[in-house]
Amino acid sequence: MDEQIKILAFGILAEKMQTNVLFFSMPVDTDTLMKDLKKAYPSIDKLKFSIAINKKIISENTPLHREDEVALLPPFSGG
Amino acid sequence: MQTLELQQRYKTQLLLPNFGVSAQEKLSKAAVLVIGAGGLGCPCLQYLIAAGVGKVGICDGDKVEISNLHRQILFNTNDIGSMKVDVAKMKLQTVYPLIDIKTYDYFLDNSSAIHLFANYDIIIDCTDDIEVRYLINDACVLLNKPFVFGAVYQYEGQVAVLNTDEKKINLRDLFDEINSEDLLTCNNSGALGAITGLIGTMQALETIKYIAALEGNLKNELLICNFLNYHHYKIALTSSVKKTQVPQTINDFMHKKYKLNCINEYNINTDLNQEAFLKKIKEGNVQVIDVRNENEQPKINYFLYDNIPLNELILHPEKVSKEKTILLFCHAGIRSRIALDFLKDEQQYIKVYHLKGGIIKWKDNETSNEKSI
Repeated sequence: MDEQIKILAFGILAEKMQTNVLFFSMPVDTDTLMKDLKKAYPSIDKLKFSIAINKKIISENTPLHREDEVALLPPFSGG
Repeated sequence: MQTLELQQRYKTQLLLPNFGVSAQEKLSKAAVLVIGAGGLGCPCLQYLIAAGVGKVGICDGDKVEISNLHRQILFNTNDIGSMKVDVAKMKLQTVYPLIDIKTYDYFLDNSSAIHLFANYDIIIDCTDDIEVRYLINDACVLLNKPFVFGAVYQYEGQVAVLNTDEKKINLRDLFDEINSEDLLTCNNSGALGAITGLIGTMQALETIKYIAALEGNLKNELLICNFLNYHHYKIALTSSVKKTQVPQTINDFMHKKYKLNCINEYNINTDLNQEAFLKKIKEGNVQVIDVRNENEQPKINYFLYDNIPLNELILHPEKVSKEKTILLFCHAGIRSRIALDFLKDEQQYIKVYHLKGGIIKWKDNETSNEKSI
């Protein structure tokens, strides 16, 4: 069976992707995941957001492993 | 805790485990600055003041509008058109008259950030513009001030406590520089008052926890809450390797251009004509300064002023009031312009204007007025 990774989306990303949880075929790293994700959801291509793996923010391309949880975090600014 | 009145006022929070008199005293000695008296700032201010924070500053250059009332719960219909900071202070001061509430009736910019933050222990970002958020972030990093970030997008909210230790983890580690055009605010994405109220209240709570050294403070963490389904998610922040840099010095910061959406009138137009100059004098709380040399003619008798020649002003800027609006003039408007740039750029003065064209133009007007009579 194809291995999958869990992705959580927040804010405008969840709105554009029309879900706040999705599962994606296991990519090797976060750069590959972003490329695949933007291909599957072109409406998020121009959006800026940060990435967390297992509740820790990352700032560089990072390898992904089975059972990792990826969160996509757009900045909020309203108040 | 000195008086019976204070013990009575705070007796319920004094009962809390790990709180008590020592936490209450820490709160009473703390100085907290809230930037933005809007959907986040209103509840945040109310809970900070009710809890007994000793000194609270409120910075906002906006007036109350009808569209604010559904979420900015310090204001009512009668307040429309009034300065938010004035209404907020009037209402908050009734909670506890002895709390020191300072108001700053302008939008934050580079110089006012440096000038104001120095007087406070913690800064709370209750704004709704990402560019101001970066400005607050950068000033806090430069001045070593912890700050509490809070923001809302529709039914979700974010809270974080940043720049708390030597790691200086800040907004740029969380979100690298973003333009305001890329983001929606409450005014164009929608907001429920109960949700901005919850996030603003959480900002007050995190501030109180930080001051009172309570456990579980969101230091170097981002909490995201969805208020439709009550899911929440907490993320540990680390120093980003790819972030855009905070300006290295205060001088660099002063010259950094943030694309601020709310610009103060005194930053757009610092050049006053004779009529506008006199209007400012009539508004009061001004220091009018003649920056010409002592013996220069003509002497002016239309209004009262101090004579601080330009060279002396640059050597002794302490002679210029930091509390009043500064109105500068000279012979032709050149030295007063130099003094204005010096006070704003080098000395972080905030409200400074000068008489465009100088007193020679004024004299010309007087002469032509006399001729026309």
